Amino acid sequence: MNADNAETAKVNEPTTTEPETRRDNPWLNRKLIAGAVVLILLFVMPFALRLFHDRDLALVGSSPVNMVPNGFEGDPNLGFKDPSGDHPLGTDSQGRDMLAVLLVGIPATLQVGLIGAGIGMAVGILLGFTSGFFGRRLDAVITTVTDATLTIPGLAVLVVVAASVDELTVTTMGLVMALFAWPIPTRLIRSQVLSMRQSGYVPLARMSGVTPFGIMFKEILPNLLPYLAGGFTFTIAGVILAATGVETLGLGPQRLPTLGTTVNAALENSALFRGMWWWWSPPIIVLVVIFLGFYLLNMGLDEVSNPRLRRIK
Amino acid sequence: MQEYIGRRFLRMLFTIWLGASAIFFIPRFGGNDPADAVLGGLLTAGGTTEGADEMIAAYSERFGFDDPLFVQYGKYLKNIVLFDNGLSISAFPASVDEQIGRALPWTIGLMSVAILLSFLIGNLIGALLGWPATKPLTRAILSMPLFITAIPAFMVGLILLWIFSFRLQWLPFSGAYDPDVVPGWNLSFIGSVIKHGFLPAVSVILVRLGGFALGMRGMMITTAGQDYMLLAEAKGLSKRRKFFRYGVRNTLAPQLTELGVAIGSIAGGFVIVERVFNYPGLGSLLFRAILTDDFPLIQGVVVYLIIGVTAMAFLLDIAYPLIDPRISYSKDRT
Amino acid sequence: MRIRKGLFGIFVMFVALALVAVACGDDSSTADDPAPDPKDQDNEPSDPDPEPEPDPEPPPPPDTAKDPAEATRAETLIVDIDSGQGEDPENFNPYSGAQRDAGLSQVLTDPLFVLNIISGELEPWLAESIEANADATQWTLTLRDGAQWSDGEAITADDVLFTVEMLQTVPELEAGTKFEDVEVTAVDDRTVRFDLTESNQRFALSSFSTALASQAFFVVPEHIWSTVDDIATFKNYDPEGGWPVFSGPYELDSVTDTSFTYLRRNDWWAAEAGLVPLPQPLKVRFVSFGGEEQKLAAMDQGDLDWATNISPGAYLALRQGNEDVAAWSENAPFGQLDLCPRSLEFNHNNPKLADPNLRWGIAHLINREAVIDVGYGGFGAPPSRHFMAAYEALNRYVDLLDDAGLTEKYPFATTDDAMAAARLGAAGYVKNGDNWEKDGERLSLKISNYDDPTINNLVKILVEQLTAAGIDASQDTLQIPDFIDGLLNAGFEAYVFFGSCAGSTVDPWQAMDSFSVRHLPENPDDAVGGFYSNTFRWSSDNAVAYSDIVAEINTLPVTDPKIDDLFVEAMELWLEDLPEIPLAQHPIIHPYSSRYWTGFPSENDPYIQALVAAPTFAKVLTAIRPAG
Repeated sequence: MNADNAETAKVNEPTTTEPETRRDNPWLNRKLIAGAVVLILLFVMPFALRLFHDRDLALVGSSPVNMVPNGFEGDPNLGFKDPSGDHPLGTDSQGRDMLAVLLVGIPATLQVGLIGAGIGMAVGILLGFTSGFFGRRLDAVITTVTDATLTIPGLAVLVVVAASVDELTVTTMGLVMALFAWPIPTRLIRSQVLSMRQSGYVPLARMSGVTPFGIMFKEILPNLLPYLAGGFTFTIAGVILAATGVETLGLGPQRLPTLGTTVNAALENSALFRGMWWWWSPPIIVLVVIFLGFYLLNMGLDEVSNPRLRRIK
Repeated sequence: MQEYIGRRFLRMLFTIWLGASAIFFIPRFGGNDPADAVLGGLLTAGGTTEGADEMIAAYSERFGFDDPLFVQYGKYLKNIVLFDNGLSISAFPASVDEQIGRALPWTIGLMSVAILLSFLIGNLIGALLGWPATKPLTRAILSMPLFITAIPAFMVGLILLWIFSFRLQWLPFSGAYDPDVVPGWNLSFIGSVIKHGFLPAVSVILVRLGGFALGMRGMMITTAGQDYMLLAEAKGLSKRRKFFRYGVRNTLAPQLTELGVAIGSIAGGFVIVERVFNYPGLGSLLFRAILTDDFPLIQGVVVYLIIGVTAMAFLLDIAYPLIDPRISYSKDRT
Repeated sequence: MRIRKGLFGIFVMFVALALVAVACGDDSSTADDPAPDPKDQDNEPSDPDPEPEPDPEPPPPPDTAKDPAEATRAETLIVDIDSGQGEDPENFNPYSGAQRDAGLSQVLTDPLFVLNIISGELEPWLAESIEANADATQWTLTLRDGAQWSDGEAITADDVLFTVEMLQTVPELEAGTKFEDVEVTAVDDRTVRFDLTESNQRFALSSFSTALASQAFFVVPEHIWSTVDDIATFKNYDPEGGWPVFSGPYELDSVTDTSFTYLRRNDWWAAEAGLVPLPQPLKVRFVSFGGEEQKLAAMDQGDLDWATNISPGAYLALRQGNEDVAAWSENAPFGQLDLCPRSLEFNHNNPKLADPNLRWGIAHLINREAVIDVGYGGFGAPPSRHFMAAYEALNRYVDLLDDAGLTEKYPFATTDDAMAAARLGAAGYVKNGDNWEKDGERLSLKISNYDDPTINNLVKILVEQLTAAGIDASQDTLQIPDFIDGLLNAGFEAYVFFGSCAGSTVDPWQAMDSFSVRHLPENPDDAVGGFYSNTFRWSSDNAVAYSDIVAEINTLPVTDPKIDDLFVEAMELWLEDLPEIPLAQHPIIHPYSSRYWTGFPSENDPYIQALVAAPTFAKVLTAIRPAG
């Protein structure tokens, strides 16, 4: 989805680039490409690997318990079984195959991010545009509520909300996370709309009789795409961060694993002390890679939309 | 100016009201009987009590859980104004404020150190990164911690915990101080507190400094291109003077606003970091309150967090025009 | 260039700060750690040579010359707090808000009796005896002569009387028994009489048994408590004034958020009266370390002597790296069996689940070995043969069922698709493709549980097994208060719990009684009075007949041989209906480290059960002695 955004944004590229950078294409940014490649790989890989590995092994009790990964030796004193070859990354104490856990957990985690950030972004666009474009009272109300929500320690409230939801699924988790995903996009978009409205061509368009909505969608929106893409990746990363945090406390989807619930299961079962590194390290490594991917993507988009950042390279 | 402060103050009250209302209504949608919390500890201990139903009824009455929702809400708002959050259920008869009072110093202490250091270090790194004269090698070294920014603090905490507490056994793995030291102003207690607070603080600092650094970098790049920098150059000022007096000083004010905004999310993230390190602050208290469904305690902790955070943001906002002479109170900033 | 230097300076400063922090911390620990050895030798001249074999002799009399406040690490016993960090460390009201397993029930108070679940005896402690009249309607309790509160006042019948009446009149108080329908009188200074409206042969066992901290009966000093206005909000904490006043071998020294420290009272009445020796540890500290991992690390590093509730896998890892560590038994399951076996329980108010055929069908679909394997992380736990805990005295009764052929006739532990199909068919379900259906609707089962690692795992694997067998099963993990709400108010379909954990250790009656219809409210949707008060809402004809037999058993003394036949008769009714499906015996692993203290109870030396969170702790305290 990020990639999609980047694609569509590319079409409008000539309008966003400033004269001095025209000589090289700003979208060919190394950070941007590296981030996008990492994330696309992470998104595609689970689907590809599913052809070779049974995803149902991510269910509790589907595999032998406490099996070490291929290439390592078990330890009967600690109850660790020798690898059978069917579980390349080993199994945990609940009889889940760790590779299958990743194959299920990675898309689930990204899905929570997409749902939460998608809603947050949609609300942000709506409120940001309304606020920045119509100004006055509406603006004052929206700004006040946005600023207030930003100040509230969101994660503390999200923990409470997640604890009061009956059966958490990937979807409800995404919905819960959306509660605090909208203020940052709103603020970002509002300030961009404001500055564009003041830059000459909007009044010009208005004088030539284009409707406010026409101006908003035909003139302002296309120019904002790099900002929107940047805001979106930033928000997804934020949502995944919040969701993983809440899940690590033990408040997450039940039957199918996500990366955060896997970390929680490992902690609950003392995997650190027991030396079951193959249990806690894969989800943490993948999460680190995900966050770094979004970080690079975000830095790249930042440089695309803010040419000054490029100049000092 | 008075008008600005007044308006800003009203906004602070609005924020507190918004957050407090959310935290009042959300847990109540679950439809549980909050008075059940009194039996929580008993169940896990495998114990039982005779007359549990009568006990729950007695507590419901004592806490007014049978009142209509708006009556409870009114009482709740009144209590917030009076700074009296009443009694906790799961820890009955301890008052909510008493429990928060025990947890608060730990959170405030650790968090203020973490915020201050991440702000200072982050801005310094950011300023150097955005400063055209910085050498490429320095730039490369300074960019490294920025990558950690992408990772949540509690995960950095987990990794640090594994390395320094479980593997190397250099630092303690839980609590705020060793159980055998006597709390007070003595060296062993203070040493113990620093030792216990070190990893939680470092995990927050490592993660948070990047945000400030990035903001500072952007601003510094802008500042470096301003005319007055050319003027400073022409005047032949020393590099250090140019960097601090002309560069950093002019970018610090907007960074302070960023700090005001970031405090909320730092405080939120802190809840989970405290949990990972079993640090006896508000985060751990909140988590226990959630596990025991202790409505008054949940509300109390979150409301205090919100009040603390909004008050900080308010103070930073009124300090803003003092720091940056280009801004005056009369203009409402965006 | 300059800037870089400045930055480097800051970096160096930071590193220095870190080093100082680490060094400071080390200071505090080194100041304490090496000290014990020399001092220790000075203090214990009576024990010069280390004994390789366990000493059958009573331990040497403890040294009373030393001020307990000066105790070194080697003279201190550090114990884990089972329930973790408490809500309010400054509350010592055992019936309202105190954390009872943080020393209050173990070292601060004296139980009236100590229930030894291994020998089956109710051993006298603060009380000298309790006797029933012939039909068990009147019980007479006699207190020890010379028992004293920590403030020097004598413990009298008035104190017991006051405590009982307080429990009867203040509804907010939390206690294992509230003496409903009991009239209590103080006959003289040392004698208390309980008059019951109905015969109850198990009054002493159920009111004063101390297998669990949460069920203990704590006598409170009347001369202090009678002056309190609102007992529900009384905290019983005033260190300046010498509060809390109780009678146990230790007194409160200090509390922090996560630890409670107690000092030995050299003038403890029971030692002065010569009943038991004074405990050897000068200081006992109860500490909450947080999660399991933190406990393990603390124990490994010698900061904890006795830990609670460690999972089997973690215990193995701990033992692997540390030779000092041991637990109840050498081999799996390493721990003693819990009073509370885990079972899959059903809400019989739900018409779907009221059909015995459905429950039997589900029982045959479950593979209990696989459930236990996953639930206990591959280390196993004994499967349940019955709803009672598998203690020796109780196993005798289960053997009776084998002898009567009931185990063969009602094989609820057997996994068999054909038997399951027959039962589900009898309940009106047909298999459509992979799914069991009735009137076109798929058979579903939502299993609720409270949030606990082991129970979570048990439910997860149950859900997977039932799903694979064609039932639309799901899990609902609840926070504890929400779970209690559903439990007491018949709010679940099915749940994994221990609804028969009513305290049977030597006598089956209490566990049996938890299925009795006598607990059911008039309106079936109203709440029941406790966790073990037929939360299943089992109310079929079998249930009524079963409850009559249970009531009859209670008119017979515990040792009456007639109970055997009645038990078999009742159990046939129970098995025919199968109101719940017994799953697993839960082993409680409380590892101890012999680095500083030895003599903890174990399979080889079973002088008392090795439960940390129980008033029986006093027996352990008087038995342990310094290591080496």
